[in-house]
Amino acid sequence: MSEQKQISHSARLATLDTTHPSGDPRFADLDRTMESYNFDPTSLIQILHAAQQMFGYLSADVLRYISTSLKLPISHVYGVVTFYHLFTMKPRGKHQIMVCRGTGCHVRGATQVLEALQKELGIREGETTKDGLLSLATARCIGACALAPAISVDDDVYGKLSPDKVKDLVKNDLKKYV
Amino acid sequence: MIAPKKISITINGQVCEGEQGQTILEIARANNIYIPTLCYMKGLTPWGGCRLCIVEVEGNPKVVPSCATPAVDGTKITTHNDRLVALRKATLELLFSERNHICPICPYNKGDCGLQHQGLAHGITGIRYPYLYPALPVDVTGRYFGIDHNRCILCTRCIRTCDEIEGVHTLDVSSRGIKNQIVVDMNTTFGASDTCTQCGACVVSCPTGALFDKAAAFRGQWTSSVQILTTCTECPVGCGLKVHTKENRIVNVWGDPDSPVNTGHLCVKGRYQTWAEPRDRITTPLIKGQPATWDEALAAIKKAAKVKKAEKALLVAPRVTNETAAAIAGVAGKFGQTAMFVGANEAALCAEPSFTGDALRKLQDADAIIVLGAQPTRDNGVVASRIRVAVRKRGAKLLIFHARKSELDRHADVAANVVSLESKLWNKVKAALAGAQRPAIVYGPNAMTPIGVTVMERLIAIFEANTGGSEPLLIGLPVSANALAMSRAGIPAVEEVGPWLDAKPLKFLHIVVGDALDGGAGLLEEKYVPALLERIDCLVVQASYKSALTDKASVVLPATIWCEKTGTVTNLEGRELPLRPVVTVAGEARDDKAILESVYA
Repeated sequence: MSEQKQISHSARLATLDTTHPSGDPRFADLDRTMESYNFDPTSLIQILHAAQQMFGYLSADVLRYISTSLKLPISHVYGVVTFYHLFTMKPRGKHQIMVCRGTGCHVRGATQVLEALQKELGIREGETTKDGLLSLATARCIGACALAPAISVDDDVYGKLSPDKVKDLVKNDLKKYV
Repeated sequence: MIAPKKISITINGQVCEGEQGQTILEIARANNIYIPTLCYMKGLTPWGGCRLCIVEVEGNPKVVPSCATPAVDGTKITTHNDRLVALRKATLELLFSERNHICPICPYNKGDCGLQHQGLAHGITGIRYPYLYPALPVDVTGRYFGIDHNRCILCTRCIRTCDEIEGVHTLDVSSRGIKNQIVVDMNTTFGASDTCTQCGACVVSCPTGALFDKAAAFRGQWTSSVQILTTCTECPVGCGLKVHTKENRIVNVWGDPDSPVNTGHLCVKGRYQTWAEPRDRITTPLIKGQPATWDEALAAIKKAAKVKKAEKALLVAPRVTNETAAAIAGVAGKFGQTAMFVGANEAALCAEPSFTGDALRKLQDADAIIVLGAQPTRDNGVVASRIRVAVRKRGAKLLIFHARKSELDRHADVAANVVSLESKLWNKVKAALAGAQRPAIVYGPNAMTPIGVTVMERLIAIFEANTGGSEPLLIGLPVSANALAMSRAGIPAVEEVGPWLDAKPLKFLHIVVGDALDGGAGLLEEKYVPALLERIDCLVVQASYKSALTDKASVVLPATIWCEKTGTVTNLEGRELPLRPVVTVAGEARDDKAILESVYA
């Protein structure tokens, strides 16, 4: 039993070995992911997804590392990353605020809610607060039409909002995330 | 090989013959039927993005892009009718409204622009859609060319050229929809790009003025310029050039698409460095730095040359024409010693000149390429692009043995320093070469070092053991332009000029620099040479450009440059390639051969 443990430990150390000069263990994870796809350039999108999971966002450094490992031109990797909305090259906050802009929320004043949030947080859509805790984004519909206008913070939904309620929300409820 | 099946289609009522697999556009072009295009370019993968080449196929309610649609035997095709013309007009109007196409301030105005041409041909005088007037950047940080996104129609011809011909894929398109834009690497500039080789093939491929040559901008339209075919003399590849001139000035330099050597592609040296850089040209003979007539200069040389034969020497740059080489061999008897100066380890490469027929075409078909002691990216750009295309597009293996890292390394399966002979590496090499059917070895000057020879022997042993494969294609790749043919003409090569100068006490030295771009300044960087030159009574330098060397000379004779010369050069494939005068000779410059004959004959 103990012998088995020892092997897995050394195997773990071996996998931490990465060719990336920073030695960041997340790159070792990325190495393993790319290896599982056999360094196949056509698996680029899956590998980018995995990298974004590991790093939170796709930095220029990560993209360059992927491009070298897969022998893909860096411009091609950049083209794919900028094509898809889901990939981000900017660091995102710890918590994601999503303002619903679906039809129901729209007619009940989602625009005003978004404006109020932008004013209260001091950031615009697609940006992150200076402390790196909250990011603001919009979505087509979060499926909470009965609570329109609604927003979600990570997995929690806050509904039936108004600009005044947003002020209150930012002052009180959002504190628990901060 | 089975011949492709013949098919026949009817285009606009005319029966056209073609082959299975050809697109409708290819068959139409072969039969002189015009279909307008913007994103189509011969030699590139069809993209079908501009939608100008749309045609109707009988029985199909939709229009199809003819550039990307394979022709089907027996189909009837219409290229022009009211519906198709209306659709093309609408497409063009959308293209014009999308960006800031302001013709009067564009260097491609009046003839060179494909978009303008199509607009005029379709009679577009106004646009039904609102102009978007996007704020777009202009990147002029590149040394020789820039990109103005305002004029881009996103036809991706530059991207496909960069990917499929130069093989680097520096360009791509970012974002999507209305935000689409051509990007260099990771949204950087041409100046900051570390993958761009500055070959300029993208500029030639651009149908609008989006990508433009900085030196060529506003010098005149290439469509109305005089086009003369000549040969590049910057390296032993000998690419065919198509030089555009207007009023005795070079407007632009393109590759000759019909040249069997480069098939239209060029590297940065051939396309730009020979003419788009500022250089001080020598236009009259100079005696001690002062302008003089030819008679005075020749008299001064003849007087100084009245010394013992053993005290006279003739030193030649390895880039003169075959005719000049013959003239040098003819006058060599009047000198104590004659030689051409070549780079490190290059003499051995030139000692037994071996030419490989059709090397560049065969290189593209190779399935395993070994680069040994050569730096094609720096010295022979077109060879490097052929290697990259073979590796990236045809899946060839690439093994590099050299002392210095280069841009090619990132495409390589094995990239090793010449001196590493560990068995681990050689097992990798063996694995990479297993099953190679058409291997090629590209070897440069550094393959002639003892370690280079060892590596070469091991490689050949691997090929011999690998019974399935054929003999490797061997391509010798010197750095100097015409060294192989000059060596064949009987001019010995020296690598170290210092000891050569010091071998005998010299009073008279004639250096033929010719049109070397540095004006011979490189010679002064050789060990002992500056001090040894001081000891010589009469130094004659025959050069085209001013340099530190011409400043030291007692007499300077102005030589013609590549675009003024007549004659031939021999490339590494053994082809005799012609040089044709493109512009008239500047000032009183004379041909290298004529100068040597007038002084020593």
